[in-house]
Amino acid sequence: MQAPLDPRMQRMVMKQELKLYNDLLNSCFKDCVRSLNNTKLYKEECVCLENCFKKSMSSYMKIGEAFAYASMVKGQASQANP
Amino acid sequence: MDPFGGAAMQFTKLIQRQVRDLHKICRRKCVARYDIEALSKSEENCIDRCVFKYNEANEMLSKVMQEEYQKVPK
Repeated sequence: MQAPLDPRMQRMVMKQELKLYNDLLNSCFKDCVRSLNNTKLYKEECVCLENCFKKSMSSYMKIGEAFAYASMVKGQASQANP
Repeated sequence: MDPFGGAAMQFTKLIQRQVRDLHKICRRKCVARYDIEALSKSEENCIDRCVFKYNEANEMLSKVMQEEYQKVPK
């Protein structure tokens, strides 16, 4: 389904994904883990982290789609009115 | 020439980045007072707990990430 990427592109994609993971880990940790009274995560915190992570991933994909669509619309508009 | 130079360098960078992130997050959560220059005992304990919790969250979320990847059609 995916066209094979050249190694440099693959590395770039991988780097981007790792960065995304890291950013999500940090922001979800900041939002979800409020109390630091013990060393273990509470059940609510675990649930919050998982939901936050999955939701953020979905919104990231959605933004990519929306951006691609908006760019396409803009491209068509500029073709119509040179 | 060290054949593992590249990997060791990458690993070091990864650790450094993680420590930097931990510092940013845990300092904000734990260290609030700047009228005294030394870390108080409670601030030290708070930082310990923060690091433990962050590591636990990291383990948990990396599993979630792997599950998400398995869902995506190749």
